[in-house]
Amino acid sequence: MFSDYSAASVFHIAKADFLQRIRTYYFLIALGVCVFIIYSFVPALDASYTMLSLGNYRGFYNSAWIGSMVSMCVPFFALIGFYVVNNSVKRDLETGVGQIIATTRVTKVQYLSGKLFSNFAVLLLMLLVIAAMTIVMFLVRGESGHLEPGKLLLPLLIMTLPAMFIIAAFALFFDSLSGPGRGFANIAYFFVWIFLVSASLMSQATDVFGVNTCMLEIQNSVKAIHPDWNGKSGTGILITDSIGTCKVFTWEGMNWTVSIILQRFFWMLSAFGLVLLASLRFNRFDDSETKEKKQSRFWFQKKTPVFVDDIPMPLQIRYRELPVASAKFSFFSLVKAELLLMIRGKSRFWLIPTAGLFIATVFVPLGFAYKYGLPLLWFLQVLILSKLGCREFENRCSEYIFSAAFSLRRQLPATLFAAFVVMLSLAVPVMLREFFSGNAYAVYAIAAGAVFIPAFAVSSGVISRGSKLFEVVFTIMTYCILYAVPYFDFTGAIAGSRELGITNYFLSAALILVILAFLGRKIQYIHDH
Amino acid sequence: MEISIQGVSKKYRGNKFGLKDFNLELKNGILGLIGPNGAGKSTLMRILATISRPTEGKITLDGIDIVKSPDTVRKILGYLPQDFGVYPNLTAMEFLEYIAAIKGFTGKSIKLRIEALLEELNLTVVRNRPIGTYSGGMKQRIGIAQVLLGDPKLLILDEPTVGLDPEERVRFRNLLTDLSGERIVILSSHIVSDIETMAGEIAIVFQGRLLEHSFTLEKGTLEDMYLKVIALAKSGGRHVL
Repeated sequence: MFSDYSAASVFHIAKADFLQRIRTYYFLIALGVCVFIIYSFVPALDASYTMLSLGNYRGFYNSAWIGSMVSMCVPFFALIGFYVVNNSVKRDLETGVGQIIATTRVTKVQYLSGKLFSNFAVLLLMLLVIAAMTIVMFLVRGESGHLEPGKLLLPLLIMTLPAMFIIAAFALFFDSLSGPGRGFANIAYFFVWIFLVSASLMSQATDVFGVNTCMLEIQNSVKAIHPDWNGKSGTGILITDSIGTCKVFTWEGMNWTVSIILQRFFWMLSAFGLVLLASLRFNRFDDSETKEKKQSRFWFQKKTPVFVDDIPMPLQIRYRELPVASAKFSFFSLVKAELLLMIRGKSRFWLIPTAGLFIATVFVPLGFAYKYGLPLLWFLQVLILSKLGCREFENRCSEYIFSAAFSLRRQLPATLFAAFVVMLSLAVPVMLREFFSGNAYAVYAIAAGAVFIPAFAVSSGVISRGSKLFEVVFTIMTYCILYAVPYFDFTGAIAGSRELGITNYFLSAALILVILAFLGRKIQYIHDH
Repeated sequence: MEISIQGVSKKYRGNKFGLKDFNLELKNGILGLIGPNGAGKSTLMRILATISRPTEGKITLDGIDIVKSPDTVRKILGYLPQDFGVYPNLTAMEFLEYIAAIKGFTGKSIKLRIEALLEELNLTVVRNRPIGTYSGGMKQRIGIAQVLLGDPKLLILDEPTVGLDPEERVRFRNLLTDLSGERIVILSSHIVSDIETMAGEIAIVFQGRLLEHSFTLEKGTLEDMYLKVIALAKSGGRHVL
């Protein structure tokens, strides 16, 4: 077991990390999003949608029903929660705090335990807000005046709390991987999340979030009480105009069997497996290996030593003999430099799929290239695009770049234009093929997408000062496009998006985002330091 | 060239001052700023570098208000922040070309100047290697190179000798001597001997105020003067210029 020193160090690592996270605007925004989700997921009875449908029946808004509805939002909390708590280890590496910790007696397990508890504590605080909001929703929307705390809040305790622990462990696992950067974890988790949600809905045996267990119990109950139930049910955002006309089913709450409790414990224990894996991968802030690996990935040159020998400065610098440079601003030279900055140092794991997919868009059937090839090709640039508005801060170059003459009107347009050039170049095969097949709208829509994506990337980077916002939202948007949701269709390929005028909306949004990026950067110039 | 700092204050939240009623006139030459941590040296330098705005007061460059027209300063400025980074995937050549392009220098002449700068700073051998692989001192030299890109007439150097070894510090002093004359150079350092050897005039800053501004100093007297002035200010007998 932990000694006093160990327990104290774990506690203080967790405490410091916890305080660091909850004192950010991001955390407040995340809490706001959770409150909004709960407010939306317990809709009014006359709303045109429902989150938990039972065909010809609807649940009576009592404590048990509202508690169950909120606990079924757990996948959404899991998505938000991860992005709130991830990157704590990487932040310690970047700030140098990790190297200080690495020189103490704190072991890998103690350090990672501290981070795990901190992750979990942050998520627990979120859960407390969720619980408070659940009570508020009962008071606002409840049809029964009798508040039963157990029935209202136990689903959160038994279903949501273990899910939060699992998310804390996932965040730690991704964080401990020394190789990939933050951006990779942000994107990879989204697909892990899709998998976890699908698994939870599919079967009770793989029900990580407890959604299936809760749904099955409700179905069994309604079937037993109301034989005329039509057998239909669903969870998610379900559009309906008939909820007010449905018959009323009174749900008395979950029967918390030992099997359910054990299953929740099982998933929590499985999360410890992730922590174990994390401890095996965690290199205790020795980044020389990572640097060496990164070095070997530079595709534009041969492998170089991690640190070159320190070559001394010459004895005398003959400043007066230096050739004088004449000032001559060239927008295209800056665009060229921006393009170089975007692609330098990118690994072959980016280059090969990009080149492969680009070539594929020339040869595969046009419909497939347009609907799937182009969105994927653009998506592959996500880690390049996500840095555009924030790399000055991430690399601590902002002070001397922002103190250059006219840098606002020079640099930001050059960044936007360079990203536009990349997006458009990647789309050239599809655009040309669409043009020659007579689909002028497709050409217009693709060009609009090539304008929107850089505008969104730069503005989200400027405003959030990080890459996470763009990485997460762009991943979700691309996912929605691949599943033919027209509202996110920035390529104009999905049936119905043209009729909805989505391309024009994206073009308008791009204009607004560019203005926001300029305003945000201007504020950073004036008020930052 | 003349810079006039008149009654400049920088107020932060909670009624805290980074600078308070700061007055100073600067002409061509090297000014050394010295003071304890948090004295306001970096705040003053950031305001002069136009990346921060004073909450009160006026700063003019040859009569032009630099807060209203920051690009007047930016066009002639070479700024080395105390804590700066680089784009680690770019080579030295690419990084300096990028900064030069932002500063408005393109074409063959800047390429030649960058090559000469790298040569002078002894970085030619590693010019095609990513800067991320450089040692701390070499990165500091890249910082110095970006300052000198456009032959700046105003140099603001915040702790420029950090990361340089003793020999490199001597070389840096030689460079500054070569630079001074028709330029204004403002540098800060915690190392009293650095300021004493490099600066023609010194300013002692404490709690956001200018305590002492001296043009002539006998060698070896700065440390004593600094300690006396700071001790006097701490005891409440503040001698504010």
